[in-house]
Amino acid sequence: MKTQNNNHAKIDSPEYNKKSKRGFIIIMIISLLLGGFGGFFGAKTTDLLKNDIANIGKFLTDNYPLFQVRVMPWVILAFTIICFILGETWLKKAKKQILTWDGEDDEHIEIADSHLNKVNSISSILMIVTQILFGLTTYQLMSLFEKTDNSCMFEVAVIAYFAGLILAISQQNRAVKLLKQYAPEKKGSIYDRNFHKVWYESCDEAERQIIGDASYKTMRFMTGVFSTLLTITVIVGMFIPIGLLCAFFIGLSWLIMTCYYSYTCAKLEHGK
Amino acid sequence: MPLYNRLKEYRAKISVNQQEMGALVGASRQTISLIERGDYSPSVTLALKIAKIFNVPVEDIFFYEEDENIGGQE
Repeated sequence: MKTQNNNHAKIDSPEYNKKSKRGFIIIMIISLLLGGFGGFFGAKTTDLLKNDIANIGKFLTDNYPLFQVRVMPWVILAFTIICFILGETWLKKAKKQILTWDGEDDEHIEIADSHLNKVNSISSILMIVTQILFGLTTYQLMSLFEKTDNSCMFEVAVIAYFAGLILAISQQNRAVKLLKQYAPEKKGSIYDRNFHKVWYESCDEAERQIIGDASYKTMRFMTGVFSTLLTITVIVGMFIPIGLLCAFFIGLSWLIMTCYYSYTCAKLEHGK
Repeated sequence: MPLYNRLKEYRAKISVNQQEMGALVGASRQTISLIERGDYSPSVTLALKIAKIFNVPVEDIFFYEEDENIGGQE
């Protein structure tokens, strides 16, 4: 306790604050110089590579539709199949551990838990990535049909996309059912709109603390991700026409996350 | 400062597994496991519920390092 108090006193001291301030100012100056020189040389380079950039842009614009219809549907299908196989493997392993559990040995349940966490992660990844890939496949869909005659490949994309969603939800449902076998206090159906709320309410204090700590760490991590992405898109957008919406939506997402976090903290602090 | 406990010892005395222990105090099997491993310090409410199950004072089950040293000396 004494060592912890000494550390807190050190961090709170005026000397530590001064040192931190110095470090902060140095980082700001270095960032300013890097940004300034980077911008100057970037502008010079863009000027020199103007034609090359335009050619790359034209190449992508001309060939992306073919990539969309010939490659993307198979990418979605392959990704769905791989994720589904992985999820099924882990579900089987988890089920085996649960069936051989004697009710006392921690190790079986820890292993089962680990496999079920992997199932939840892979099925969530499957849902999100198939949506992203489907978005990339259907980019400028109307003009796509005019440019190519491979509409049946688009149907492959649609089937793979919906199959991915259905399989992911099915795996998550089975994972929840398996978990309830060794944690019967858990409540909630994956098909219920309020599943997360009901599930959270069935968690005890330790589980809620884990959820809280993980959420806070995720918020801090995403702040770094958003700030980095926004900086990159703003800088790249100065030289390459990547569109107005990139920086806007990244910034908007960051703003919503930050405001909602502050609002939720204030709400919780006042006992609501 | 880590909080030590003798929960596993007391649990063995009444022959209940972690899941049953969790059901008795309104906690999950995972929480009982975390407490026994020393990876989680229970709230006052939970600690009191656990102590009540065994009909002993809370200090008999949960203690700090200093208390452990004192206990050892005695």
